[in-house]
Amino acid sequence: MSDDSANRRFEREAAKRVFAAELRESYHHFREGTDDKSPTFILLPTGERCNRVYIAGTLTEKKKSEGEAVFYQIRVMDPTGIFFVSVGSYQPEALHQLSSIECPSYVSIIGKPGVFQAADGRNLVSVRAESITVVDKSVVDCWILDTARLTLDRIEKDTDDPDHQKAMEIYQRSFESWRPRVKEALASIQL
Amino acid sequence: MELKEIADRISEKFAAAGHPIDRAKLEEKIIRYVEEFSVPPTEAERAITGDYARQYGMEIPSPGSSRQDTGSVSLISDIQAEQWVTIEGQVVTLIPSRSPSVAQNGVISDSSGAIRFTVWSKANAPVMEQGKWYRVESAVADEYNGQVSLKIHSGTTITDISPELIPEPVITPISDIKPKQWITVEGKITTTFPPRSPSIAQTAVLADNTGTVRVTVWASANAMELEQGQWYRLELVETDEFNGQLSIKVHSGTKITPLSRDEIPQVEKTPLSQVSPGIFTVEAKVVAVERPAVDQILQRGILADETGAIKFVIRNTPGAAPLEENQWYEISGAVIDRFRGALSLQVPPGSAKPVMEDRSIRPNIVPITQVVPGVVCLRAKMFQEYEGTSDRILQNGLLGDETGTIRFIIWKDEDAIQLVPDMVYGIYYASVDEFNNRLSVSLNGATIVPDENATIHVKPPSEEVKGAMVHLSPGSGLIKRCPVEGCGRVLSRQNYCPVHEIQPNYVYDLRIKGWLDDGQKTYDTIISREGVEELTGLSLASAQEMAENNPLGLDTVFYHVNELVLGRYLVCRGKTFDNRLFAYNCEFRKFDPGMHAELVNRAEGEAHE
Repeated sequence: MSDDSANRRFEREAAKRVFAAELRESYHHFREGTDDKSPTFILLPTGERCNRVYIAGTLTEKKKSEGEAVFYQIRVMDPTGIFFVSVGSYQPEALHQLSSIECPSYVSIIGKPGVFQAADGRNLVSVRAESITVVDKSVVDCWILDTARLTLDRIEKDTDDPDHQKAMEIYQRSFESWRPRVKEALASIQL
Repeated sequence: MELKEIADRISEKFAAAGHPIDRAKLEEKIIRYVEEFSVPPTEAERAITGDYARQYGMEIPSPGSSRQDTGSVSLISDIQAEQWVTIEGQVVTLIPSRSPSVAQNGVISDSSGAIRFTVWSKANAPVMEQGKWYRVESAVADEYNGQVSLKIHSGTTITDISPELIPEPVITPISDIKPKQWITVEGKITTTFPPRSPSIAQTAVLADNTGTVRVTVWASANAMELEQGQWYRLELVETDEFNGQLSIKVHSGTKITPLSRDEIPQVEKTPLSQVSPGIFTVEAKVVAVERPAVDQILQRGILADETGAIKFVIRNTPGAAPLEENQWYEISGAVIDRFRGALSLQVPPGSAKPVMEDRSIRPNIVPITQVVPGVVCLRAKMFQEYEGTSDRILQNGLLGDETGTIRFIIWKDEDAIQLVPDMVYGIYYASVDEFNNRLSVSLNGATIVPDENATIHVKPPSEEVKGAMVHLSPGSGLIKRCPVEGCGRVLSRQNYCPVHEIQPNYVYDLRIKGWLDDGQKTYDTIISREGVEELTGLSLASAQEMAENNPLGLDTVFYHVNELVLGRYLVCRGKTFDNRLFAYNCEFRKFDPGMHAELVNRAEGEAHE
């Protein structure tokens, strides 16, 4: 069985689906294991760890930072709020893709979320993009359905899961309180 | 028009700083954001202002968060912490205050939900009475331990709502019950259970023609005992949810009224395909009966009408009588339950009236992919036989039709016969169960008619993964394979096979290697040439042409495929092993309006099984 656990370690972390409203309220982050290469996670208020996210929405703003290294800060909007996304030279693929994208456009992004402290002491969650693609509206709508479903799964999940317990302790907020955000997101889809 | 105002604000702002803006271009930009991409106007204004500011090297201060306006009446279910709100609701419970600084404690409810409230002594508020309706202006919502509650302070105004404005009490159908509300329901007590704790007087199941719900009667309610088989109206019960299971609580403020025979709602006849847990009247034919295996059961069997079939059971209680096979009955007030995903119908004593007229039923044959737990009729081929795993099993394997396959099982009994491989059968009234998310149809007791001349082209079993393509690995697109027979390994750029060394007469192939991610699990995915061609519309021949006519060679194809597929939703069919997926059939996932409707219902917190 040791063989099995060794293989497991290289299993890629799934890209979690989370609405902007929930991601921006997340601030607890932790590292699994002790060595440098162990993955870091942020804990979502609905009780799931996430090391990578897949998001989709409208790219509304693209800001190139001054300085030597090319670095973009972009804003991506979903029906519940704004994702803050950064694209730097460590992700050449994403940087290359972004250079030819105009605002506004529908995009999907795969990236790693991180928690940063803003100048005024508030926590800020930002996603470091690994790739960014221009998509059409149907992909964004599919994403809203997918994210609504997975968020409801988290809200309605049984309570014996350790991450679930931890989220309750840290965020002190009922999971059910996220349900209105899911409704909002679903209501934004015009049939 | 709002968009004009935004344009005015932006152009004034920049004109004041000495940067006139092309009005037409600006308006076009705003329309593009707001109308085409449905970005909210405030966000569009922000984005566009920022854009121009960067262009002219100006600093734009970020606006502070705006304060919630307090004028309009909020729905209780929408209240969030840190808000000032005005609500209109009914005080459904008062809880004795345990502190001198608190004047009153209780729960107030409207049609959307209920919330706890606290009235501070310092508020000098009028005393509220249980059962009465009030308008509460400028209360503050706050949160403690994840629970939002309302605080009534000296700035809050409480006024009575005049009787003519109070909404009529409505009877909520059981299927519409949502948690954390105070409602009125009507229904029949189908089962009662002894109390499990001293604080509970009784637990029971209440049913109407839309569904069933568990009832808990608190000991402190001092309520009358609910009798099995009797109909009641329960006014002001609290609804609750635990582990996804809805329940209603009878407390001291609940009014219980037994309904007389005339008041019992008339239940119309419902086709069997449309029944769900609850109380129904059906007209159906007994198509199978079974010897009871236990003393408590008088009879088991299957009822069918033109739309479908259901298992029935008659308990061995006084007055119970068995039904006759092949006879039609009208059964009023039948109790429908769900067990392991399958519906069953309980016939209460005296509820079945024979119907003299005999109609013939054409069984409703269901495609295998549409089978759900319950009783089904199929037309299928014996597709595959499994090795016996148990002494009790006569035969098991897969049945198939044009849509898919399903597991079947035949238990050993004196009437059971084996199916012949590749023979097509009409299978009538077989029962389908669900185990570990897998359906299985049991053929014992079903009518099985072989059709020796028929053939069916069975769709072989395959798995489907729906997910987003989150990464494409090198080795996707056009590749070269080793031509040695039985090898087919992918060659390096220098046409080198790890086993057969340099192979200049390589063969081209097309594939996608990458990660398909469903949000829970990531599949190490390989999509075959057929799959890639179908998905991208790029054939192997045109990929080859693309690579040969482009200085980037094979990389061109990679970039092309990457651009089409990355970051998009796919539906892939094929085989999975652990977290690997070999897909031979792929398409882009389309928006599914049915799924949308289902999720909207689910988000509303409607009862789900």
